[in-house]
Amino acid sequence: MPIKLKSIFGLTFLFIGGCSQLHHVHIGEMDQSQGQLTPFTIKVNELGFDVAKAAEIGSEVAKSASTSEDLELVAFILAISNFGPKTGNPVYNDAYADQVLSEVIKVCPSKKITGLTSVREATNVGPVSGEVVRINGYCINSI
Amino acid sequence: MKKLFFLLTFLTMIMLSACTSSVHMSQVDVGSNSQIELGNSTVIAIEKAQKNVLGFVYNTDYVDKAYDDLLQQCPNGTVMVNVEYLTNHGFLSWTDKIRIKAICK
Amino acid sequence: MFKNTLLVSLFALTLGGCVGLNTVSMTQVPAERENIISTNSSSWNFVGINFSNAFVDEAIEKLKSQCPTGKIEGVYTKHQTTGYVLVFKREVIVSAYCNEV
Repeated sequence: MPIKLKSIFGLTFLFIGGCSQLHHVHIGEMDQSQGQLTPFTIKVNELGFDVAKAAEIGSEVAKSASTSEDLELVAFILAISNFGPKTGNPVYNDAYADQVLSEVIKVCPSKKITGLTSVREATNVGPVSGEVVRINGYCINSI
Repeated sequence: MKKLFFLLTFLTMIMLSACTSSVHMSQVDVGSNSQIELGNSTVIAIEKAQKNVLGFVYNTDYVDKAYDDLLQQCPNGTVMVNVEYLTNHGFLSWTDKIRIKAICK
Repeated sequence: MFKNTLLVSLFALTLGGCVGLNTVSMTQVPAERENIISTNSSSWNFVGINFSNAFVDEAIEKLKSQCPTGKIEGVYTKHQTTGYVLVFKREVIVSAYCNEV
């Protein structure tokens, strides 16, 4: 198959994909005995970008063999320079989920919260993704 | 060709200067009957880390130390707690971090 | 000689067992913390192939048995994996407080 057609197919699958991935979920206690519950959602996200994977894709679609080799080398250097366990694509800001607690505190006027569910998920489009931390919960509106 | 190679090398050097991270999980938990404490809340923050070269570590004690710190700072218990576990990536090594934020009773 | 030294060192390292943390979670810490209970359960596998996660339920049952008439609070859970070359040990370590109601 010619390289151009391969690239078109590859890119098409990439964009049609848009996969949603669930990494972790934690479900907390729920108290439905103190009043009506109003749901809320807090979401923080960061752009995830796997540079090494992008360079690898570049080496696959490159027209000339030497460019392909160069990009493979770049992919290798990037991979060993950003070593370690990964959940989803790596991000360049490790503090994007730091404010979730303060957001959860502020969200309920009654200051009574229950049924917290913490979800770590991602929406992937090839080497790029949206890395998301989502907190769902309920405000208790006293009777 | 040489130009392209030098350009790619230059781009690589730029990328190397900004290492990546990965947030594995962030969990928030709340206790019942927390209304009063949430109203006047002071958030305490604890962070512990463990450097890891090529995966050669033999315990996860840094997590237990973070938890012990939490118990010390909140002698009367907690109302709300947020636990975050993440990794900062590096050259053939990484740093695992645990961040705990909590509201004490 | 060097080859033997290298082999012995590698063998020693594999016996050590490198550990990685998978997840950690905790519930609210109670004020009464005199009675600590803890348990752990594990599952061994070869090259990461597992056929069951029942060891997690085992940890819960063991914890419950340590506090048959009380309330289990302040549950602190670690899920970690220790690797010994081709063999892996998945482990759930739980500690909590048992308070009589």
